[in-house]
Amino acid sequence: MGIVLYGEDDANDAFFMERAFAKLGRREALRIVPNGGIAVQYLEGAGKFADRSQYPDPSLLLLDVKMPEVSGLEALAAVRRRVAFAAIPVAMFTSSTQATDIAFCRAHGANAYLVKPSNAAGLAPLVEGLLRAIERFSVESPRLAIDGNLL
Amino acid sequence: MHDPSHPPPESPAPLVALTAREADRYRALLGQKAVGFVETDLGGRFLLVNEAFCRMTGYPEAELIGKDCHRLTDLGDGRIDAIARAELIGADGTLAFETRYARKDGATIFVYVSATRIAQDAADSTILMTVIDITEQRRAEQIARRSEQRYRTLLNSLDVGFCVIEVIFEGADRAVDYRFLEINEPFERLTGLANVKGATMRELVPEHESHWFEVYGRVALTGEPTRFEAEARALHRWYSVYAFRADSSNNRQVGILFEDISARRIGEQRRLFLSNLAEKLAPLRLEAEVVETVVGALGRFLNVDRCAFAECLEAENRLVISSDYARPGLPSLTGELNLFEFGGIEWWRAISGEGLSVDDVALHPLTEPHPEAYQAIGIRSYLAKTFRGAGPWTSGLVVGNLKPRAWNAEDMKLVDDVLARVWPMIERARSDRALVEAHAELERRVADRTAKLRETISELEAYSYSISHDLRAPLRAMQSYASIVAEERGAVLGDSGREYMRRIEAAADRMDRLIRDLLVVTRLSREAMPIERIELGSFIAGVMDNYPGLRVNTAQIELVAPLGAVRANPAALTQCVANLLGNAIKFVAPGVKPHIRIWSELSGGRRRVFFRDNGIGIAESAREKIFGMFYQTDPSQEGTGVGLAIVKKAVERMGGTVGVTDSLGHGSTFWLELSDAGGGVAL
Repeated sequence: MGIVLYGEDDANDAFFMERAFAKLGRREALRIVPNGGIAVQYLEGAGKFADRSQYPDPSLLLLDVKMPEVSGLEALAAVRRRVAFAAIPVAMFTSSTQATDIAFCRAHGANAYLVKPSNAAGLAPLVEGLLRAIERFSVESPRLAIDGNLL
Repeated sequence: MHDPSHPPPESPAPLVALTAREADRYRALLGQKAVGFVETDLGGRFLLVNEAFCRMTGYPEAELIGKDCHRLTDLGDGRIDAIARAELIGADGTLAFETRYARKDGATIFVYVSATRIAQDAADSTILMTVIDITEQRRAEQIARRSEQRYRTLLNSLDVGFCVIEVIFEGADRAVDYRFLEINEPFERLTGLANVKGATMRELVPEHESHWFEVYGRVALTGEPTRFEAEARALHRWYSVYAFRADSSNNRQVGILFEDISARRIGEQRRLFLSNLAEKLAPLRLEAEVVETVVGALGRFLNVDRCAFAECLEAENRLVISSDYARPGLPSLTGELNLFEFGGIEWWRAISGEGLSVDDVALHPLTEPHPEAYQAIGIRSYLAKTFRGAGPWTSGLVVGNLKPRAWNAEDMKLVDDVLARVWPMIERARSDRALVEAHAELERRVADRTAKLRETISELEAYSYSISHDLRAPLRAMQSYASIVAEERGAVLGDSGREYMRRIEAAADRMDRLIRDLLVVTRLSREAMPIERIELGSFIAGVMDNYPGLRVNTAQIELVAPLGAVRANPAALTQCVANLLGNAIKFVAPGVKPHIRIWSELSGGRRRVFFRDNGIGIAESAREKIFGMFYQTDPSQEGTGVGLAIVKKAVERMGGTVGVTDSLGHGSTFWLELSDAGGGVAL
């Protein structure tokens, strides 16, 4: 079981996510980067990310949509342009259900579109569901099987 | 011893003096069949005629002897005979001459006469003449002369030039010039060269192309005639030429027949030019492009210094050159000029009528009084022709030269032809442009409005996007930290502290839901809402499946088949159904399991769908207000007061209506009415 790479610029949301992973006893399975660009660099193994013992290949890319510099949508498009990253499941994680965003993510090969729970208390069960879904994930049926997936 | 006034003796007396041998010879001479033999006295009376002479003249011997020979020659050229005789008498004694005789039958014969005076003594002299009939030769000569005359007449009257030249060689075979030996009348007109006889071509036209000399040199040397067409640039003409060796004994003389084919060649070139021009113009749509192409092509073709497209407004004395061609090195004249500086009203009438052709502005009566204007633009000769279209402006083409130029009718015709072809294109371009401009104006307005609309929409989008992301994030943080504090520090906080934390959470949650509902309203007002046929039974069942709060175990929901089908937008209808069902479940008295019955009725093409619940009901006074924004029947209930506003908005956007009816004290019945989609399959 690999790690989850989470692109999130909001320190609170990042903290809640860490806490959810910790609650599930999976603290080590989460890596957080502050924007989409760095998420892509991580995937590419650019710079310090070349050290895969420190920065292992993720088995899920979780992306906030609204991030500075490189947004989650842009990061999704960049990742899906690269054949090397074609098999990595990408879940969008956002507070809006903007139809245009959902359509964009569907068109660009996202595997899930999840709405952030309004209370972080809801994060732990969501992460649990995500981790289960990754295990069942295959490129043949790319939609992540998880409650609340709007794709 | 012979008196001339006496009749001559019966036999020729002079023969008596001959020896027998001489007499034989004399008789032999007289017996000549082809040569007439005559002896006369000095007065011209026949003393002797031979048979051949009688045959020649048609008179028997008897009618001639003793008669004056003037009987024959008076009808002809007796004067010559007389002179001849006079000369014979005074001179060395022999003379040959040609004369005419009139035969007895009236016919004229030509004769060659050789006369000899045969005695020294004047008194005893006689004249011996041999007469040869040369009528045949003379006729042949006459015919030849006549035919040459005809030939000359032909050469002079046809539109064909003729000359005989002598080719001048340098070395054995290099022809460098030729001298004119003979020319016909049309020559001068066809070449423009005068007084050429005896002159050489190089003297007359130094820049005449060398190939002309080479061709004639070859004809002279080989004797092979040649036929060709060529341009003589210095003469400004094209010729079709047939050249042949004129004299077989002299290999330097060449006869040249030639025709001026300038008109035909120019005609051909012009036709070609016009068709090429038409081809070039065909794809062009803009007036500026058309005009620029025309002035460039025409200017280059006519080999002029300038060619311009001008627009004139005589009422305002304006001449606007919108596009012009100038020979490389010359500045463009585009711009505005004063029209009447170039000529007066007569000048303008000429230009705007038949067109004006000015060989030299300093000499033309219409332009001569206006030298400054022409000096200013450097034009010395020009052709101008106008075309009148719709509107006050007159459009025109002008071709001009810095030097005088003798324009010909063909030049003007070409300008005319070009204008005739181009003008419709320009008019079309103008009307196209008007259309395009009108269209562009329309497009611009639409674009303006669209931009404004887009601005509004994107502002709205940015606004709702910002609400979704930025306003909700802090609420999420509040809620989350409140719950974390309660969880981790619950023991320290005590009951009241935990209660406060719960209230923070609840307030934040409420605000979050409020924001989400407002976003829904915004979207419902704004987003495109494509309408489709929706089968209500399966649709409502689907909505129930997707909203955990509407599951069967929470509430009892009864669908009364058949519900039919309506025309609606799935997303909007989902909002309506979810909100109505949500309300029905939410607003029940404590301990009561929600029960909802859904059925539909069709009336006049409209389908009304009813949702009857067993809830707390709605006071009559409130029924008007519940669909308003932020209205809450019971503020203590969870809810935002936006749900029914969402339903109303959504139904209205689908062209429907929404309402609530009294359920006689047990709950309420909401309904929404939409267009029926007909032919529905029952649930």
